[in-house]
Amino acid sequence: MFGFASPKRLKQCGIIGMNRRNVQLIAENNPRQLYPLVDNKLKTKQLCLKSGIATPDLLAVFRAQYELRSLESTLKGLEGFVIKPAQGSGGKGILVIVDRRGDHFIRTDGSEIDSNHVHRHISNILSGLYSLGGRNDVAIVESLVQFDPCFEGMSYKGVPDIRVIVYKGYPVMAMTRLSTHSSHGKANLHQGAVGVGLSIRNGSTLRAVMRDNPVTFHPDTGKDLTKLNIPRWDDLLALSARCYEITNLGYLGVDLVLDKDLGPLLMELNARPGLAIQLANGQGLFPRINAVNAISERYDHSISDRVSFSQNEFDT
Amino acid sequence: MNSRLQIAFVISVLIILGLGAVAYKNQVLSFPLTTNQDQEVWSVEIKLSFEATEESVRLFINAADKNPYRRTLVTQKFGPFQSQKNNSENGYESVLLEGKMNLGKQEAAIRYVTWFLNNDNYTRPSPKELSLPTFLVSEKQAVDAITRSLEQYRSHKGKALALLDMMNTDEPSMLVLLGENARLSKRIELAQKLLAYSGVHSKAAQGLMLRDRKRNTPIQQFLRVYEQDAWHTIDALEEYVIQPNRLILFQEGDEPLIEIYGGRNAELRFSMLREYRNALATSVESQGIADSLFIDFSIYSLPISEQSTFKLLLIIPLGALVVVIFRNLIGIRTSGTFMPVLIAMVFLQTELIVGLTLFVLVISIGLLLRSWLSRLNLLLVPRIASVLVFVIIIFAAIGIASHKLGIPWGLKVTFFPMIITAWTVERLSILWEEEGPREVGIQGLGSLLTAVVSYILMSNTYVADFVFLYPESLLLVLAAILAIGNYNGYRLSDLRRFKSILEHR
Repeated sequence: MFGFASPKRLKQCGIIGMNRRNVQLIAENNPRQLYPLVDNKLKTKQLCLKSGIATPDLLAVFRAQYELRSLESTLKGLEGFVIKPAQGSGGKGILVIVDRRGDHFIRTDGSEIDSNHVHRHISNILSGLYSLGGRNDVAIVESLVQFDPCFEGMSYKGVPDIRVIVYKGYPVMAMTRLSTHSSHGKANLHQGAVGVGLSIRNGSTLRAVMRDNPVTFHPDTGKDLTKLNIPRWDDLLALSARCYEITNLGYLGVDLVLDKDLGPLLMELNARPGLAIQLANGQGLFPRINAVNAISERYDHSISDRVSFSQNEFDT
Repeated sequence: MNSRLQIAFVISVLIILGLGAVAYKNQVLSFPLTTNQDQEVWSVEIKLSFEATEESVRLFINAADKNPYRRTLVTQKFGPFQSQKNNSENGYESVLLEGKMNLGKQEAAIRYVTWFLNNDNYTRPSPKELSLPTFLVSEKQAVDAITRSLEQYRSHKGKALALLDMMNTDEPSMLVLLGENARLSKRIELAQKLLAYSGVHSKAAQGLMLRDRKRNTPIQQFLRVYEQDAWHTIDALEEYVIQPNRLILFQEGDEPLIEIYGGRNAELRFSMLREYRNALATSVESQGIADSLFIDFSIYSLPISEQSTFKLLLIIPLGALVVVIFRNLIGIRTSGTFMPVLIAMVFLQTELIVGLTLFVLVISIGLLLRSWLSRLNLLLVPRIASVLVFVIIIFAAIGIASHKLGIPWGLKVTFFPMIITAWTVERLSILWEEEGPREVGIQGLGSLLTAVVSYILMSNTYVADFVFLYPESLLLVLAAILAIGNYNGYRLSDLRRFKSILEHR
């Protein structure tokens, strides 16, 4: 009626709304003092390094403008790399270099830029241009991920990543986000990226949505999205589940990428993951949250126990 | 669960307290529930300030007229005077105040409630014979021209208004008589002479025109015209006839209102506030329940100038409630949490359509200028500071342009809070860059819709008067806000967003 769903039926489907997410998932499970760990990518990286979680290699960190004098020597010999602000949000300020030709660097879309451009970009990051609230920031240079061939043709210009929602250490829902022309290479669903719900059991495709509507083929590449099958799924879930131990955040969004040689790598963590994953999966989070609440009160489980619990329980 | 129980408990206590207080005031203290059938009552506060130069000070003040249709109830007075003598003369009351006090700045004040039994113009002694005024020979031509142009008006009031209009619009023949930038008292004096020349009785007077929420105004000067056995009072600046039930006269003629011996720089300031409280006036003041703690510790015990501030403050929570409902129950995105309430308060001063137009204008120009700034890659604080400067320039430009174009409401742009406007421009501009114009439209319209609904609620006199009569009802507003804060069901926007899940299952 009038473009609104009946709240009763949504409840039957176990869909969680914004109010419940803010109170029951975020406020009750994520103490505020833990946020800085995940809001700052450099801190997250250091944390991962300490606990042996694989992330893309950290090549360099620029903390102040004068450190940029060593930029030339730092970038020497690097073919592909990524520069990002430590406290950026929504993919802002990320510069991806895939190759170099002479003195010039080549970006994902094939355009060439010179080292002055890179210099200016880092300088902007340091002055807080891309950071929340414009605070001074730190620029991170990390190695370029070589995407697993399973993503071939599945994404337009952008970085395909996998988002796993980890609730109290249990992976409860997953999706992959594929950028499109209309999302301008960004992997945000509300900007028009394709969201593909993934089965927690084996990483197979459940359904794909773009701007809330089901799709079967990628709008730009025409590839059949249902053919997507994520390899090394168990490793990926285990890595996500481990993030609970290192952050203690009960409601956590784990963003991963799949490298063809290195396997799953942690890109970033999110203390306020959104609800679009329910759309990509075509089902609600609530039954899974309840199942985890029921089991986690009774036992203290190891990572592999938790992963196999999820894989058996959330088999759709 | 524990915290939910706590909130439920707090909410019930708030509801019981709020409803209880409203019911008690309504039933036991017989406060009126609605204000529409009630009588208009004016609270007037007169503040006297002066500098004592001697130890004993004597002061004559002309106090209010003796309109038989006006009732007055003094509620409070304070000051350094020890004795007071009232003296009645020609239908006006004058007061002699005497006291010994310290040298230097002194203040005295009196507060009373006054109301009019009807809107009749009470008859005063009819005027004496008119004595024909004299003009200089050089003025003769201008006087004749003006007198001729007055002949088209039948009524005396019409003549007086036409005269004042000529003065206020700097009509050339008037300039001859007045010179440029003549003081108001001089204009009134000339108006009297010219009216007498046309055979109309008139005189100058000083008094108060009652207006809601007027604060710290000096005494006003009026022109009075005699017609059909009654004196009619005209606001000489704004050129209209004042209703008798909006007028308190203090003195006829243009002599100062105060005579002071042993002091100097005596000055009177008036504040007034309209209230609707026939039941209130009778129950609170005349029946003497003023001892009730409820009244003694209520807003009515504050000075009137502060009361009018509170009248505005008390309706702000209603705007906040609207924001809470819109964001958490409906799911409308707004730019800045309480920006819509601030905008709604601006609308209260500018009127809705004018406010909306100006706001959209300022924000659009601001965004345009701001888009140029983003190419310069400035740091955050200098960037917002530049936006602030832009906003002020836009305000000035709109003000000047509208004034030149003869659009009087353009000047109301100054009611918008500059810092908030600058931040709104900044936020929307960043939103534009990050999420595109669509999101700017959504949040901009969401903010405006929220502001308009808040405005409609806050500008409703029934609502505003009810909250002012029963400030306890704010406890109910708080209970509603807490209840919504504890609601974790769906928002209306969720129902829309997740609809496709149901359809394609």
